Amino acid sequence: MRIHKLASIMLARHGITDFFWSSIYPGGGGQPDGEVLELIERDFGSFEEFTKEFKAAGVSQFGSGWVWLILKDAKLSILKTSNALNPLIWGYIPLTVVDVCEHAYYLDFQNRRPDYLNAFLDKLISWEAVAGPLAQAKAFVTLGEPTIPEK
Amino acid sequence: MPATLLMKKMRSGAETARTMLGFHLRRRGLKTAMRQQEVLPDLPYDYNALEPVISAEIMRLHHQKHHQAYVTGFNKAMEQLNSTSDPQTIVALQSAINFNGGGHVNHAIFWQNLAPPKEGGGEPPEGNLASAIESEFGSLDKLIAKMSTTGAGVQGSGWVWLGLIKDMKRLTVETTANQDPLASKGLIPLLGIDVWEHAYYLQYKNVRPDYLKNVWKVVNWRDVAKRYDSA
Repeated sequence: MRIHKLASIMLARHGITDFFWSSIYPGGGGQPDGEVLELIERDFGSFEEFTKEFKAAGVSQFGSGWVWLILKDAKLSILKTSNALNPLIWGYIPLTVVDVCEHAYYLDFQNRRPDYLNAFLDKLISWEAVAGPLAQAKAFVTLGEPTIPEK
Repeated sequence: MPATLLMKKMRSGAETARTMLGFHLRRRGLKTAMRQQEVLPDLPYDYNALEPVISAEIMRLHHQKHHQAYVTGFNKAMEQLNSTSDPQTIVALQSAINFNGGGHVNHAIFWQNLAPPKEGGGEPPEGNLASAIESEFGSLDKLIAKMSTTGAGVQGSGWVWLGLIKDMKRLTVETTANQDPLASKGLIPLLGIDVWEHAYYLQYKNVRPDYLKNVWKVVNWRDVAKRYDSA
C-alpha cells in the first residue's frame, strides 16, 4: 500500500509540474489582453488586485505547494494547494500554476519567495497558455451571458 | 529566551502570577501586553562551524532569515491575537500561530541538536540514551538508517524526529509535516532533523539522501541524551 500511495503522489506531482512548465516561458510575464484581462477585471476588480491576491496566496502557502488561477463556478479564482493536490479533484479548472516548493526558487532567490513570485508574474507567466484551457472550458461552462443565435 | 525554556516556564508560578495580575489589570480596564515577545536564540557555534557537512551560507540563511521569520511571524500573530476578542479572527489566526510558533520551537531545538565535531558533534551517545537506543532499535547504526530512510520519504516539507513516548519511556521515530512540532503527536522531541529544502538545497540540491547521510557527523548526541534524561 505504501508503494501505491507513493506512486500516486509522484504521478500527481508529475502532472502538476508538467502543467507548470507549460504555464511559463522565457519572455513571459506582464498583463494579459482580450478576454483573459476582461475576466480578471470582472472577477478581481483590477489586474493589480489580482496580482496582490496571487502574491498573498503564494506567501501564505506554508510549506510546499502551489498557487493556481482556476475557473470555479464560472468565475476566476485563486487557490493554494499543498504538496500534490490538484484542483481537478474538486472539479475546478486550472488555468495557470506557480510552484512554491522551495526547490523551485531556492538557488536563485533563497528565502525570498515574494521576489520569486514577482519574477513569475513579471517575467515568466504565459498568458497565452491560459487562453488554451479557458477556451476548452467554454465548451461546457458559460462564462458570461449566453449568446442566443438569431432564428 | 529560548522557546524550550519558555515552554517549561509556562508551568511555573511566575507565569501564574503574571496571568493573575493580567486578569486583574484587564478587569480594571488597564490593557497591558503581559506576554514577552519571542526572540531569535543565538547559535551555540559559528556559522561555519558545521562545515563541510552544512555550509556557512546555509546556516546563515537558515538562522537569520528562516528562523527569524518564524519568530517575527509568531510575535505578529500573537499581537493580533491579544488585540482581538472576535472568535472568527481568533480562529483565523491559528494557522499563522501554529506554523510560525512551531517553526520557532522546532528550530530552537535543532540548533542545540547539532554541534561541530570538536565540540562532540558526531560522537555516539552514552549512558541511558545509548542503552535505550540499543534496546529499541538494535544499534545506533540501525536507528540512523531508519531516521535517514524515514526523512528521505517525507513528502514536501517537514521534519524527522527521534521522540519519546513519555509514560512508557520508549523511543520512537516519527515525522511531522511543515512546522508541526512533535508535541502535536503527543511525543517529547529529543532529536529533530529538518528536511525542508532550505536546510540543504544550496549544498546538496535535490539529493536529500546525501544530506541525511552526512548530517549524523554533526549530531550532538550529548544534547539528545540530556533531553532524554530530563524528560
